[in-house]
Amino acid sequence: MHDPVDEQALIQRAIDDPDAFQELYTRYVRRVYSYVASRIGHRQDAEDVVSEVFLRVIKNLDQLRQRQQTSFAAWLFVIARHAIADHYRKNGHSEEYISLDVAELCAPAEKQPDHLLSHNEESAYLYSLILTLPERKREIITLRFYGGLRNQEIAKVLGIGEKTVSAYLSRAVNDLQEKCHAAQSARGQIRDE
Amino acid sequence: MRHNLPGGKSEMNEQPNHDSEQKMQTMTDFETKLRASAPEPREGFEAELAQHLRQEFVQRRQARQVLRAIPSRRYGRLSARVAVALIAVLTIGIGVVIAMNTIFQQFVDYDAGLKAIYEQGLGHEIGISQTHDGYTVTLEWAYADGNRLTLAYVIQGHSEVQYTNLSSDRYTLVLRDTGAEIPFMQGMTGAWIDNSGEFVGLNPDHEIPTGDRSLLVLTYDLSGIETGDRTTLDLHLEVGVYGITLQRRTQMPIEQFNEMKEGPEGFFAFDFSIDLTTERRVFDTQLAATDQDITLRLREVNIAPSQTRVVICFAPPDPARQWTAIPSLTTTQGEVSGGGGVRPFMDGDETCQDYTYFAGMFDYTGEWRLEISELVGFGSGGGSDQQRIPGSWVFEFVVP
Repeated sequence: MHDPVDEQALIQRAIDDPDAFQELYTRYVRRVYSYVASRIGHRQDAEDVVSEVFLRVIKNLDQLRQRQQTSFAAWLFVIARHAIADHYRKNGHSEEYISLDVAELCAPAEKQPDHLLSHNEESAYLYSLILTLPERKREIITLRFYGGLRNQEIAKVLGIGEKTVSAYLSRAVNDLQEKCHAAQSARGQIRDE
Repeated sequence: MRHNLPGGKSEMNEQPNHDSEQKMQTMTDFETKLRASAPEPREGFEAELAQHLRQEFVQRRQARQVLRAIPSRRYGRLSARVAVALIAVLTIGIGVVIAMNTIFQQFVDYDAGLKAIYEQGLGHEIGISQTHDGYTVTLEWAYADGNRLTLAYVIQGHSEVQYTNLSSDRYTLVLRDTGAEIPFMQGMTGAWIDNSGEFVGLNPDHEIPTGDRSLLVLTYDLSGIETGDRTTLDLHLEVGVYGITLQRRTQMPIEQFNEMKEGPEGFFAFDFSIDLTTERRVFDTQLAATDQDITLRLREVNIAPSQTRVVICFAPPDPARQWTAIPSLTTTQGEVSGGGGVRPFMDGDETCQDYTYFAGMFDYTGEWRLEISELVGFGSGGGSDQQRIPGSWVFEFVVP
């Protein structure tokens, strides 16, 4: 997490200095990509949306300067949410769609390879579990663990209370952990059989 | 088997704390795994995008620097350095800069939504001109989103002639493919620029300000126009122009204002295309509030980058009157300024009010509060024939 004072100074410089803007971009691009890609299952579309997000940042960064109480991260992810919504409106999708590789990973446990999941496979499996969460929980989980936002920032992005965010987050993480354990147990039982 | 630890505590008493720590560690490990599950971009994506963004950044900042080179001054002469910048700008064909920067900077303060658009560089510089009978109209700039279309054009009269008025009496705008006319919403006339490119304020030699060019900024209502999935609007604009010279203005009585007008026959026609900014947040709601036995419904909140609109409907307390509601719209940032009027319409038996706020609220995600403090019903007997019903109808909501 970056020093807020340092970040404010960077934002001020980034309004007119391309090198400062690049530093700001470097700090956040991967987080934005992870969040956007988790909401848009198609890689090319996710790249297009991420590009649009940062173009909007370039256009509007000096407007942020006037809003001294606003966290840059919260502001950035509000832009990201809007860009995702615009993407769905333009492309006529009413629901998010999951790319084929993730759908394959959602296969039942008995169809998984009969050995312990490697780190990458475990990550992919967790990712697929996140996609099965209800909308609100999924949004909060991805903003927190992919976007790297604090609860207060998530609250600002979603326009809800911070306590609500905490409650949702706690339940969502518990849900995921239980599903993971259930899947591991099922795998263990299948192996035993 | 129990083991007594030093200090007399049994291991079993220690067990719950150990379990809590274990649980916390397990949770932390799990959260670490969640973070690690984040999708990652392909190799090279970040560098490619960085390069593309740098180009975009530099281009935008360069454009903005050209505009900032010309200060907005109401009185006095421009410095030689700035005058040179003006000439350079004219040479490369950005004639919009003279009108746009000096006058827009003064007039966008009246329209927070337009200011947000202009400062973000979201509009289009057009710069096409036509000349008839010594009058020149230059279509300079335009912007369109789901709620509004705003355009700006400069009218220039005969050279060497001082005018007190250069304006339009016709400004019809239609979509070329359907012929649908886009309703006019509001307009403002900017101030003057003289033939050396200077912004002219009050002329100490005359009581009436004079110049040879004026800027007009007009806003049209796009909300009721079916734009489908268009991302570009093909438009046809017809502009009628008149001028009033200083000579006529000072020599004829003011009651003959219309007779003072002179100008080219016919109108100036422009065919042009602009991108439609499709970003819009629409909140369809059935929130209701009741007071004084009257129920008001908040039907829709519609937020575009340059404009926010709110629609309220209610059964008229007295159907023989024309009713309007007095609103106050606030957010956590304060009152939403830029109230741009209200369009009443009937929906079945209900009277509805479509309120417009020229404010840049698109990125606001907090709470809104709309309060209606009074209903006013106008009778057929004129302005004083009013029935007023004070009350408090409050709607609190968040726009997704």
